[in-house]
Amino acid sequence: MAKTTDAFALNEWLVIGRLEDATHDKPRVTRLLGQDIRAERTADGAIGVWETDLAGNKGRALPVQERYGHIFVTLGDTPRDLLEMPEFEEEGRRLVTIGYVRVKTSPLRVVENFLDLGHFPYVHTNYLGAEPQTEVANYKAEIREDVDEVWATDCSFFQQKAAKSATDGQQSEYEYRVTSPFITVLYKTCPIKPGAWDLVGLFVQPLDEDLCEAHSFVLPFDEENTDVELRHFQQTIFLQDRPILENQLPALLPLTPGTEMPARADATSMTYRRWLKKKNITFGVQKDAASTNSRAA
Amino acid sequence: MEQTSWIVAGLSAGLFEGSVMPVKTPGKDLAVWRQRSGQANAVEDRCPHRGMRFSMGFVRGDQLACRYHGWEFDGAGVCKNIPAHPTLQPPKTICAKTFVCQEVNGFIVVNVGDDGAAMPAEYSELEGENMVPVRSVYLDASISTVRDWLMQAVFPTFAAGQDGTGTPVTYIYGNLNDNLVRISAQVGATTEELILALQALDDDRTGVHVQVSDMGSKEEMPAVQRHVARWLADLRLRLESNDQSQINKLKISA
Ligand code: FES
Ligand SMILES: [Fe+2]
Repeated sequence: MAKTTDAFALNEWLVIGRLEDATHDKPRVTRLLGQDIRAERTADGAIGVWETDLAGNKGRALPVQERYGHIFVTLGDTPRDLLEMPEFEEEGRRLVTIGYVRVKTSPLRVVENFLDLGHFPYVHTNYLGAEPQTEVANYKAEIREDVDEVWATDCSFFQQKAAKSATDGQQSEYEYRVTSPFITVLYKTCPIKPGAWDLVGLFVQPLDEDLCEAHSFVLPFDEENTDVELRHFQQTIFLQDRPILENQLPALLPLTPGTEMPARADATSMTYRRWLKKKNITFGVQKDAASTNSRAA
Repeated sequence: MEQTSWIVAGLSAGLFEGSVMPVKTPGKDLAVWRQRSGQANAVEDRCPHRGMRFSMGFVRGDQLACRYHGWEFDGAGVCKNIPAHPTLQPPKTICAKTFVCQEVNGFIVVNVGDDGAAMPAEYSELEGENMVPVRSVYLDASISTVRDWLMQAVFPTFAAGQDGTGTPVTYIYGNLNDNLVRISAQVGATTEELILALQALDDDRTGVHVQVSDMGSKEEMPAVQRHVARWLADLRLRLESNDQSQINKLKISA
């Protein structure tokens, strides 16, 4: 597809890879919102990103930010601010970038899945949940107008293996924060440091409306596990989600009321959808309510 | 022949108790599943909660459970259980879209339309015939192409294969409706019959669900089933070869 005309999506800061994914000798050649792009480390050491044409020739240079271990770019002229995560400055935390998983579905479906507590016992069995402890207790979901973010607080769920560092089951407390249609951060009880939260972040790179790459990181207090172990744990979780995400109909997120039926446990997803609607975002959203039962081959 | 919204979705023998299978039709994906108690059901392959394919779910007792959040639905498509809220009686408004599903003498027959049309007589007339299931094969060809081939296909009879005497075989082809083909092969005094139900998956793929006439001897039938299955495998290889000389070998006129 060609570059989207969705003004909201164009003016977001969006992830396109980890810092180490674009080097002097190996650029990252990828796509963003339907626009082909190329990222490479330039002579002065900074990362440059360009729009490219069909032949791969560089066109317009794009604004770049190197933050949180990742490369962010925007295709718009008046971007909303990229999220702030002050936890990155905290003593004792460790950043581990996970890399990405390519998923053939709307980037919005991927974010929604990340916000979902109800699927733990079924999709992440014996990691993030298991029968018969399937109940999702009431929690609070809201749009925080002052910061223009979606938050879900007071979430809790009984988990068998909540994180790589967990050895016993625990009642995990969660908070979810959505700062962009494509970016969300999870704050989760740290299994080894009472009172502290571990961070799990999801940056979704929207390639096309129904194709994305889910980049993620963890920022835990964890001295026990190696980076590789932490990475494997997160990758296992994401790979459990992928077959679900690629088998939802339709692939694009339906925002028309009545197309899908939520329950109370979906309060975060409902709030997220309401927020998307307010922003008039169309990228990744189902256009024609009649074509629910189809999925491009 | 009249266009009908009834399709043959598979063989009864191919749908075990407590299992669910995806069924493609042009423009509509279905999940066909069988309750533990034996009843077969057809439902749109999309959970009303968050759109997950039901065909990737699992059957629990007499309910179909979705793979994503475990919501359970009964044969009428009514939601009976939302595990995230174990004490909640699910609102009646939460329903999956179901389709009328009946089993006729070994075929699973589904009305994929919303027309409420009665099942065409050609299906109910199969009731009472002695048939045993062979298998379902899926071909890379349109339903009309497959139908044209089958209507002149040489089916090497089991009897002829057995005695090897080259007794002449007479073929009679019947197009019972758009989706049903009957091939009768007469060898001397015996008749061997195939009933082939064709199911369009999309414009260029077709499922063929095959049964063979029960020729009486219990001991012999497994060999007959294998014999027909081998012919189907051969048919498929030749049809998909796109090699006209291979295809011609299937035809009676060749
Ligand atoms: S999508 Fe089926 S239970 Fe949630
Ligand atoms: Fe998940």
